[in-house]
Amino acid sequence: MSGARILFPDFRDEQSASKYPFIDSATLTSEDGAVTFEPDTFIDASFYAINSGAHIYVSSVIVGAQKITLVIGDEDNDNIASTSFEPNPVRSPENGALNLVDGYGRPAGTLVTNEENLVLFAGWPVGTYRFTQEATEFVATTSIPAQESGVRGVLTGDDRLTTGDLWLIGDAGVVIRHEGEENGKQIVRVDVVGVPLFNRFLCTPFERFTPKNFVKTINNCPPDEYGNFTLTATNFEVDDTVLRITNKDGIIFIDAIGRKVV
Amino acid sequence: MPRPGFYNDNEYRAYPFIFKPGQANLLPYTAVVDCGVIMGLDSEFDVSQHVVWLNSVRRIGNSFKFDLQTNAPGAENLPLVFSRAIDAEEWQSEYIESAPYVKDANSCAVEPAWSGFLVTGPLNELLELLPQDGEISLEENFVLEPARIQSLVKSYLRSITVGNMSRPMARSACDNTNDGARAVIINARCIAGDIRFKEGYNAQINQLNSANEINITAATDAGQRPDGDLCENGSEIPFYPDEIPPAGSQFLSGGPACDELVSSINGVQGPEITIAGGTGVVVRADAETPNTITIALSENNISGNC
Repeated sequence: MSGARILFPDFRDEQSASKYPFIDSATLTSEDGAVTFEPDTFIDASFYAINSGAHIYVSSVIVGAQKITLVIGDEDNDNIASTSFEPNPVRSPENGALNLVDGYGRPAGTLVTNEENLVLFAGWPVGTYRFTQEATEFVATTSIPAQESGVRGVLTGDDRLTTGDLWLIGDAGVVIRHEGEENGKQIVRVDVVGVPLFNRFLCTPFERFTPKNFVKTINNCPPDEYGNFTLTATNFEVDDTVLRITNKDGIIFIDAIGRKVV
Repeated sequence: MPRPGFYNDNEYRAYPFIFKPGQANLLPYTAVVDCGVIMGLDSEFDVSQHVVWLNSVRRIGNSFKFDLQTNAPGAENLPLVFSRAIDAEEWQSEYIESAPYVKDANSCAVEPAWSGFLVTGPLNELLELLPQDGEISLEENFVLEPARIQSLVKSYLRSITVGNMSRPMARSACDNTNDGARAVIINARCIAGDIRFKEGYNAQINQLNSANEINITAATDAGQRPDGDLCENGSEIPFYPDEIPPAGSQFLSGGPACDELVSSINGVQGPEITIAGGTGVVVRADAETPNTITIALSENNISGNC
């Protein structure tokens, strides 16, 4: 029936006929005028990149032979999140959701589309297409503020991000302990004391450490407090033995003395 | 002519769920007019793999239960169950939180694995489908629109657990005990709130506010100065309050102390000590009895000094 109007079109059908989630004034055309989004390229969107600002938009589209990347920016940063998909053939998740992630791989939002709409990009020549904020700005309702309050994560020297539950583990002579609470603050103490058995520590993993056996006792007798072990010929109160143990020039001599009876 | 509102629109379409042919025969669109969820830190939710769906609607007595389900690993066994009186007015909303997802004994989870809200519309059509106790199983016919989901996966640092790798332990050459893989000895779990790093022995901590950076390094005599306690303990620090040395040792790493070893005999110090036989005495160290010194009277003993 010509001119028929569906009173309650389904959500995705309704948005396909409008520029949503782009703002009504978006031109959808790249800076160089080479390419243009269709009004129905995206059906819905949701952005929650951590520390993102206002006026979120598609800042660039990088078209490669094997991968197409959509880059999202805001008023302060032209790359707050991105998502990629394969162009030939177009592959997107079954539910049409393109997963946006930030530079650390954290979820940053969702662009809802479908494979039929993504075919548009397969027709774009290989290259990088930049867009102005005015051209591709999204409506404000798609943005969920996610301020960078508190500690969002910890970066190591090689820029690896840890989130969730962080384990700080001491090793190789570094000892990390919780010292309780002080003035409402949890105290984590770090000591650097080395490894007493450093040779074993270094060599055992390579099977190059030979355990040592030290002399602690002789005939179950330990040394004195200075580590000295005393050999005596007999009880110190007895003087009728022929044995003599003497120390001459650093050599311990054991002698038998006396005269032969004939 | 007044335009219908957002909820009015949704009474007559699948939203907030993805449209699927035939789904309206299972559940009237009027029942649910809006819904949204937040997937928590531990939910392991990935929008390209996981979905959220209305799994079933049950009637129990005078209330309806709406079961929201997900296949995200950290939340799949923790459905969100929304309750609504059968005579509830339209546009009522309810916010529900699941229990935390405790993956293992090391989990520090205290917040819900996921949470969400659900807004119901007029329930008279649903009441006709469920005039008495029963259940409508929807399976995965009512999948939530992906843009109605916010993921908090990887979004913040929740806690710090501190510990140390187990010590290398002293063993004798005859001890065949295998050291095995070194284990983590936990000192304190799930520390949260304001945290202060404190310099201990030889530790130097620098905080660079401009770069949002904390640098922890070793420097001789930095932090707490080495003291008598550290010296007496052989420079060892207990990994946990009640740590005690192994049997037969005064050190946490095991092994003897210097004054427990024989370092000299009759005042003659090592590393090489010679024991020699004098008049009438023979000191032997032969190959037949290794590691043994034999001290005996000589065969022609008592022959000298006649």
